[in-house]
Amino acid sequence: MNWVWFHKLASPPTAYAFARALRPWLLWPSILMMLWASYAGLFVVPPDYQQLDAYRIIFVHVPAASMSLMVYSMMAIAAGIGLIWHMKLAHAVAAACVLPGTVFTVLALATGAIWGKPMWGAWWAWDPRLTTELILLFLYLGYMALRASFDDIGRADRASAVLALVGLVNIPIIKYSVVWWNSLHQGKTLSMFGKSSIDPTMVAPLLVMLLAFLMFFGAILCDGLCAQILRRERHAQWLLKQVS
Amino acid sequence: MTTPAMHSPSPFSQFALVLRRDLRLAARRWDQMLQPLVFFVVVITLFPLAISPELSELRRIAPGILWVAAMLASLLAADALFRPDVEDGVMEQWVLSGQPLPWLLLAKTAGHWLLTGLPMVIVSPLVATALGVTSDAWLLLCVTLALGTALLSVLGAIGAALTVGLRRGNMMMALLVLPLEMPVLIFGAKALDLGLQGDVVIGPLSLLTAMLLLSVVLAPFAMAAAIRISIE
Amino acid sequence: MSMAALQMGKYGVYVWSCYGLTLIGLLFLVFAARRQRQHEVLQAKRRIRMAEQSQQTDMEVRS
Repeated sequence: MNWVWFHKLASPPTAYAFARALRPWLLWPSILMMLWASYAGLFVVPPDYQQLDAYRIIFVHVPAASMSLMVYSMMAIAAGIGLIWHMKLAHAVAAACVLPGTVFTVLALATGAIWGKPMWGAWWAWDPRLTTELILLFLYLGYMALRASFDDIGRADRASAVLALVGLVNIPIIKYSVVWWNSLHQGKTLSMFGKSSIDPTMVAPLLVMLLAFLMFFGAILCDGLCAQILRRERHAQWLLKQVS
Repeated sequence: MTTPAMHSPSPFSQFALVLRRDLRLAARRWDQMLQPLVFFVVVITLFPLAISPELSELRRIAPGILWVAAMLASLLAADALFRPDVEDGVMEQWVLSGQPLPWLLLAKTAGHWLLTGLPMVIVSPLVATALGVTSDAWLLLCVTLALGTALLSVLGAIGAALTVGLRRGNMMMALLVLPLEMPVLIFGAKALDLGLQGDVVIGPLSLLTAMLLLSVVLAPFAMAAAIRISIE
Repeated sequence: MSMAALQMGKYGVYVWSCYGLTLIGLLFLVFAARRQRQHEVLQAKRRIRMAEQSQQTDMEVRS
């Protein structure tokens, strides 16, 4: 296998140019897909027979929730690669993941709470999914705070990478412990997907929305990555050509 | 005249040396070492004052109170785990010595548990009685707290290693470590709760043990990486 | 489009506020990420300008 292309891509100038070129190809299609999926989810798909129209929240809640976890894993893996192989670009990717990841987590929590109000009769229930999401938010905030508390960017990269990896190992344990803890508190929780039959027509908008969120994240990552590369390559000569 | 054994002491004697040094240092400042324990008792005193003096009510929430207090006490104590050694340069010598750093840090963590976790375990039957827990739950209480505080010490040590280079790392450490410690709280408090109700507790206990073993194996490497970053 | 379709029974408020929040969050991300990049570009440009200026003054001092 020839890895030259990989090393080329991992060099800051190439990565910068690549991210700049890639961004519009991810952003605009993702916006179009989101518009279509929202329209289909809001107006075309028939109401659920149990949750009626409230289940239309699924089309924004589930993509945000799945992205929040995926972005954390990606951040931790990138940070691990940066830590082990001393790859600056991987650290830059990890640093660019924090903000979108936190926003996705907040969105998942907020839409989950709003969905809970008509379903559970309360804004918040200590449902395993919501609780895990809340702990995930704490992990993101801790990562962000640790990164911000170092003046030197190299030390911030490596210290936060250790934290991200510890968090990654912990996530399955947290998830499992919360599910188990909750199963002993049964009573008021009602499964969001309980016995409601999911209409087959809703699968397509949901999948499109998931893909659109993924591509949207990619576009945001491109911008964030460029900012991180510029910050890390302060004194590099190639910057001259790129920015002027 | 030096023997080869003096150049590279066996791993176990290294562990014992570090442990003995930490215990001896602690014995010289025993008043400081009492602080986490006093904190533990004081925090537990807050709950009856805040909630209700009714023993029947306190008994129901006693596991939660004991666990939250143990978690906070262990967290506060962990901040001082590596700080003195980093400040007086001992840690730098360790890093440069070529000896296995994760192993030395694990020994320090074990010492930390002996000095902060174990006293809490020993005192816990006393404070639990004050919360209305009957004496037949003492053994279970001590076992869950012993496993759990050991786990808290290991996780706290990672946080301490990450924040030891920061001037005001205390609050930061709570922010980093508390989310990671939540499973410990869930399983520890639940095991105690089940035990007080006369249920089977082997499930959460074995999960706590599994988590402890996993963290003892993996966490020292995270600590060592964090220390190397912090002291450079 | 009829008003009934927009109201979605009694759930309209919940559904629309969720979509609205998501829109706000995603827009924030777009602008925050772009602002970060533009800020760094400005910084880089300023550094380059300063480097050029100091080079010029160097030359002037030498001549």
